[in-house]
Amino acid sequence: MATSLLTRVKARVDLHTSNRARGLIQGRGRSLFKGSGEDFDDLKYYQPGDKISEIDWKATARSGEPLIRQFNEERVRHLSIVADTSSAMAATAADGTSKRDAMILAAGMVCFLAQKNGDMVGLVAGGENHPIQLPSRSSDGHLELLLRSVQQATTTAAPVADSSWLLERAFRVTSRSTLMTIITDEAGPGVDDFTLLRRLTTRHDVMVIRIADADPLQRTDLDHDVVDVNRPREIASLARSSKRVAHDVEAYRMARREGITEMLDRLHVTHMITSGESTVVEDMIAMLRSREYRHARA
Amino acid sequence: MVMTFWWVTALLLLAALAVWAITFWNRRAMRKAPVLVANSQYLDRIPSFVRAQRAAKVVRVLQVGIAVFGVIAGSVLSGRIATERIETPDFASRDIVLCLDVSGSMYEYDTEILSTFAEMVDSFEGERVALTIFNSTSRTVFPLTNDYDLIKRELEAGAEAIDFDEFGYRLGTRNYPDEKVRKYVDFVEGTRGIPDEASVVPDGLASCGQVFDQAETDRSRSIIFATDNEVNGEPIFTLQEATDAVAAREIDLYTFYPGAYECGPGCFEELKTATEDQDGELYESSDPEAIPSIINEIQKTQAQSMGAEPTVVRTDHPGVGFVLTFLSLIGILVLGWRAR
Repeated sequence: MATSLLTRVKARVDLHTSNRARGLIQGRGRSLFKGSGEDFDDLKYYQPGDKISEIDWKATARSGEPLIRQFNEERVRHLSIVADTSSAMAATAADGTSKRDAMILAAGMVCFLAQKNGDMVGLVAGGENHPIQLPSRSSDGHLELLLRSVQQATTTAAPVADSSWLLERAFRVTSRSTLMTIITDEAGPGVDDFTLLRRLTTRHDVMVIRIADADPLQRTDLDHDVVDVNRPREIASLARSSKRVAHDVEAYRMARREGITEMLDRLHVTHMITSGESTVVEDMIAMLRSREYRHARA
Repeated sequence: MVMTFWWVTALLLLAALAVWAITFWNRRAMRKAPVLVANSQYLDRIPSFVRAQRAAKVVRVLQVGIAVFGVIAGSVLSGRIATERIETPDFASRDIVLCLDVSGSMYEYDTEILSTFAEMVDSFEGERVALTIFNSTSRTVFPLTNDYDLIKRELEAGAEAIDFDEFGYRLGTRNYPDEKVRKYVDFVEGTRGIPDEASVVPDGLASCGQVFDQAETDRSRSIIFATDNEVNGEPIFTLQEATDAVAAREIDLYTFYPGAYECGPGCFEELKTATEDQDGELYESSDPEAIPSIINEIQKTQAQSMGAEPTVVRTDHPGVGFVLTFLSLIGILVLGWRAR
């Protein structure tokens, strides 16, 4: 672990968003996430320990003393990440990369944007026997710890996905209103979780990032076996190469995806589905833009 | 049922077992890293998938079954399943010399004797046959042999060639095409060694007695001696001497007397006495059906076993093993192609 996860995420985000996202990330006059304007309160003298990034250089130049911008404490936003760290997230994504890496990248993206804006990020993850929870903090170390917790919890040995427990937990432990980013896969949150999700939306501004699963048939790659992390069984080449099976499987996945999409739309939850690590940054930027547009219109 | 190369079968089965064991222990190493997927439990609710899985399982079981079956069938085939029979060769211990008088007085009978004999060749089992013809001198047409194709060919050719009325032709009362004449001349070539003599019967019989080879082995030896005994010349042997010589070599004599031509009963009596003195048989008939009964008689004189050792005769039965191996190979190919 030579480089920190956050640094790596930043590198990826910068790479992907060099031009298109610059406007989103820069420009302190408007928030990427919600509303506009930052609640500038006052200028104060720089004290050791203050963030250097908050030094107002123009004001410093004018006065000859280092001055920093003072923000209204109350208006500091709280973000929360609800990460599905079940074994399913350790599997392969639709683009062939690891779903976990895609999830880290998505979470890292949130952290990255939060860091830019000085927002605080908390984490809810884990399973019933091993819950993971991190309070809202904004320091780099905290963000790094957050990402690392997600990474380490997501193994093939992790418990099976239990989205209702996770949503219930997320509702109970975050009493403050947050911008909540739920990161899960294409099977979650299930249609059964409608009530839980609706209860979450009453308190939080919810975004759902879904990472698509790899095709369980892998028709083009018959040399490699396909193993389900939760149901290790052999899928015969005969079944994998059959056109009819492929058609039926595709139909089922489409129906499941449509069902969840319809549910999330009904809850007015911003959501997206991405095929994996290679596309998650682009898709998130697209989602945030459309979300911003929607808020601007509203 | 025995296996000639049972150890080949054992080795092949062991090798197959070893190959299976090696692949079994290394089955993980040979597999490429699997693709991990998630949320595929729904597959069990898709009927076509369940059907395909079941079909794949059936194909797999069939493949394994046929492969095992094929290996076993192939090994058994390689082992050469055979049946063993202990056999004592009881044939090839009889020698028959056809000794024909081809003087002009005999031509009608000779034709019938030869063609009758030619028909009987098919029923022979290892008997050796020779044909010697004589008139004033004698000629061996073919020596003792069990090449039945040759025997039959020669006998038929002889029967056709000897069907020639020489007296009639000389007197001009019978006419024959040149081809026929040439065949006759070729056939009787060497039987007129002494001019102005014909049918030197005792000398002819004596030279027939010389045809037998393998004098030291214990074989049944017979001469079928067809003559009318009408001697026109000065024989070296008397008939009595000739039959004595034949008997001394333990040769059974079967004399065939077709009937008188010019000579009176004296010739017949002489022949009969000479034959029966040596315990020979005389058949007095112009009926060529006498020949088969002579042959029967000969075949009844079962030659004593030549001290031949009983031999183990091994017969391979590759048919079943081959078909099974072949079918299982086809099965493997078809199933392998289907499962891909």
